[in-house]
Amino acid sequence: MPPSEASPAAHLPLRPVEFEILLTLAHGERHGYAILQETEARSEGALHLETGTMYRALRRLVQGGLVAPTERRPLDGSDDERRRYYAVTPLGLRVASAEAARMARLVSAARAARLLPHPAVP
Amino acid sequence: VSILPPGVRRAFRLARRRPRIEEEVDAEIAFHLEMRAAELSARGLSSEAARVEARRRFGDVDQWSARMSAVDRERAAGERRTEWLSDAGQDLRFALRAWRRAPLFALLAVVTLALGIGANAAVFGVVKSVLLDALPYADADRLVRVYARFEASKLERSSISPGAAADIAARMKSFARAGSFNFSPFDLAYVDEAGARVLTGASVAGDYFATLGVRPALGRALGPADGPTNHGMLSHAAWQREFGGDPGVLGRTIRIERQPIEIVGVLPRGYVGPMGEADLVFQMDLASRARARGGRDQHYLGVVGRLARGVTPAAAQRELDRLAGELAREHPQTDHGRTFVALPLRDSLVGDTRTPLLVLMASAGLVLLITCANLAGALLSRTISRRKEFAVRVSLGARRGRLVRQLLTESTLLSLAGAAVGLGLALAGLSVLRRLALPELPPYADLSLDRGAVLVTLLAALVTGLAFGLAPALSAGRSQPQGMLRESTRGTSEGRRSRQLRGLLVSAQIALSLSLLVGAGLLVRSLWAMANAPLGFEPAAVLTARVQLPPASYRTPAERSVFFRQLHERLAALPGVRGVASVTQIPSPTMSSNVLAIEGRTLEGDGPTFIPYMAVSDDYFALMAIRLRAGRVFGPEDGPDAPPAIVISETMARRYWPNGNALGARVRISPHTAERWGVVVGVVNDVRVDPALPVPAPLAYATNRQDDLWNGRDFLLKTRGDPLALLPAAQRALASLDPAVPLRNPQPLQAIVDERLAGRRLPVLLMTAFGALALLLASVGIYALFAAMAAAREREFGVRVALGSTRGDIAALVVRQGGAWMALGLAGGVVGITVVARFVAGLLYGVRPFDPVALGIAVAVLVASAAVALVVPVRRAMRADPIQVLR
Repeated sequence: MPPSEASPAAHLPLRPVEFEILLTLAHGERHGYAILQETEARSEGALHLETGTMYRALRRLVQGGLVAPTERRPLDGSDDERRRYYAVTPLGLRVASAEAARMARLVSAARAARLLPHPAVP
Repeated sequence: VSILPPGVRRAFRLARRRPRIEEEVDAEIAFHLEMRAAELSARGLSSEAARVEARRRFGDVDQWSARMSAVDRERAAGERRTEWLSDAGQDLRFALRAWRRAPLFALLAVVTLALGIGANAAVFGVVKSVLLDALPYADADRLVRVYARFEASKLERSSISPGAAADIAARMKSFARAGSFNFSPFDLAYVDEAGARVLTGASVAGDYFATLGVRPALGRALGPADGPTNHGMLSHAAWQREFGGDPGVLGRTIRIERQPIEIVGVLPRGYVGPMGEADLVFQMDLASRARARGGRDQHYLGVVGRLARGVTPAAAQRELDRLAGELAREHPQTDHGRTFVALPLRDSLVGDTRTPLLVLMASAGLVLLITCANLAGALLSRTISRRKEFAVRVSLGARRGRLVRQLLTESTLLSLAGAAVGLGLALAGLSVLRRLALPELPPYADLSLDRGAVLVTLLAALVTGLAFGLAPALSAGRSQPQGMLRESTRGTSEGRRSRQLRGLLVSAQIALSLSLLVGAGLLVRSLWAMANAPLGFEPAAVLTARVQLPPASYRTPAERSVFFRQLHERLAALPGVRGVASVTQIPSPTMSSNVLAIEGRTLEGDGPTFIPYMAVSDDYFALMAIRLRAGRVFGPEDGPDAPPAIVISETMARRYWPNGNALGARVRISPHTAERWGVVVGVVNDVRVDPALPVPAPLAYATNRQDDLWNGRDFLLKTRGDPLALLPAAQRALASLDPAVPLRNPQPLQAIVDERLAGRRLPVLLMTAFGALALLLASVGIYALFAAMAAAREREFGVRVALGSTRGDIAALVVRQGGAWMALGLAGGVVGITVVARFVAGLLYGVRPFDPVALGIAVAVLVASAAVALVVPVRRAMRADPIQVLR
């Protein structure tokens, strides 16, 4: 049973690596290598995740109950037996949303401070 | 090989050895490296170069692996903790549910355990208070009590004269300090605005308080300098009771026995001297007492010494031996034939109570063992009826370990509930014991359960729970789910192993109960012998009370004699009084002794020969119904000027005049025979002053017409009806002579005699209660065993009956199967009896350790109880109905 931190706020703020991992996992289960690949691809090369750091962050997320390792395997049987998948938990989703909201507030604050241009209103 | 899909297993969070964390992490890293290498190869690198590049990009694999594993391990530990807790919670919920399903079983188990654990807690409370608790003195392990030993009189632990006590204090290099005390507390008349009251007093001498390391709660402690003064210390209890805890009591002068006493200090709470509780403590002037008449030949002090640093008790004993030799040379008249014995103070205070206490503790332990065996048997049969439940759980994936744990939780919970109730019983029992204020227990024993005793009890309860739960739990863990679930609903037959185990448990109960019963039987027989051995006097309908005349008001023996004669007349005139007598002290195990000398004879042995001695009034023998054997008792002819008349007991006559020529012999026995020889004028029946001693002690009597030196007398009033009803009239009679003299310690003589037996009666009562409890438990165990056996073979019996067996054959079958276990139990009991008999041998009186009566009764009672327990199951087996069973 993962430790149940009832309130997502207790997990905030997330480290950037952790937020990136949650963002990636929000699309579905991934193994570690896939998480690394996708995260780097999403940032279009702007972010370079160190492999070990990513795996450690992943474990911290598991320990916090935001991510759960699963033993489910793809049904086509093509997969390697040793592969370990990770999935975001409902709590992890709520934490990620809360973190996104927090960032959105930061962004609007940055706009208010004229640090960012206002988005073009369509 | 699992018969279940993994999902079900995981859903029950059960079974599956986790692969080691490091392996998982390494596998994950290996997979990662493989994927990277594959990607790099696809981009055109050679496979070798791709592997190297993959590793390079990953970084230090070993270091990352270690760090990843660390996080995983931490998480796994946390998970195990929560899982354990949730399992424990589940076990507890299950246990409570099991109780609810079988409330009667749970109730009986808790009651049984409460009795078993309560008995142990109560006895342990006493043992702890007496044998384990710290004495109320500083560094008490270094304290020793010194006794005098008089070889000729066979007195092993006697008091010490003031002269010898002063010499011990002055000369013993083995003692850093030494102090003395009067060996028992005495009564004091205390008069204030509220009237006359009686306080208890004690006298101490030398460095008494410094030796014991007692710090006063208030003021200062008495010391040698207070000897010649009228200084006193109050006990904490008396300070609270008499003075409301007022600190202003220091420096106050109170009148005790018409003497002004200045209070210089208050003793700390919890202090109690080796002589017992006392309200007021005085300092004696040891030096002047040592110089006074009788300073070397009157022995009435106890001596305590504190061993000097690095001195062993053995070394102190050797120095005492040397000192005894020196004193014998210096004072050949008085100190010859007397040696000293040093005992650790605790041993001297615990005295003879150690053996009965250990016997009781062992008995209580046996009861607990029987309780365990009994409940183990009961739980085993419950396990059998719950086998379906366990089988279902096992087939749903419960590990056997979980089942064992579940059952152990249930039994531990039962035993803890039993312990809670048992502790309540123990507390109640101890408060009853406290009210009895047993004189046999050392004065410092407070008979309480402190935190340590409660912890020990809870620990015992836990061990008990594990002990009686283990066998059933393991047997449940072995159950075979497939077989069990297939078996028809009637299948309640029990495995061979479990049946044997239950048989053994019943045998053990029989063996233990038999041992306990024999022990109790021996003690009961001893007590019976003690209580029924003739006392040599008739204590019924006699009121006793002491009258102590203050020396300040009644200075001369003549004045005291006049007072006592007047009191005697007034008491005799009271309606309801059939006779009055007075004695210097009523016969008791601690009465004082005087040195005997016989004209023209050298008595056997080295040193003085002490004989218990009392001065009595003429009608004492008639009132006590002590019969005259030869010669005469005292009469008016024994006036002050006549030759001192002495009456002796039969034992004394036999010991010193074996040829029967005691009458007319000339003896010295008391101060009034110091100048003129006394003459033996009569021989009377023995009286047993200590009912616990089989052989009566010799005893010498003088008449108080001639020996009139004493300040106090015990009056005995033979009454019609209840002796205490006469008390107010007796008090008025005394007050009409002198209102300032209280009637002390009034009680029926019968009560005094009974009290001497009470200390002996209690262990016997307790052990009998333990024996009865054991018997009951064993009977229930026997019943349960036979009932289960009969039930399991019911179908077989039906078949047998259908094939022509008679009811008698069936009954014989059941009895034979169970009889083997009973026989085994009885055989084990024989072993137990030999141990028990040796253990209690020291407590027996008038009974041999292998007393055939006690043995026979114990076996008969046990077999009879077993027979009663057998009736129901055997009848049920005999009623086995072939039609019913075979349908």
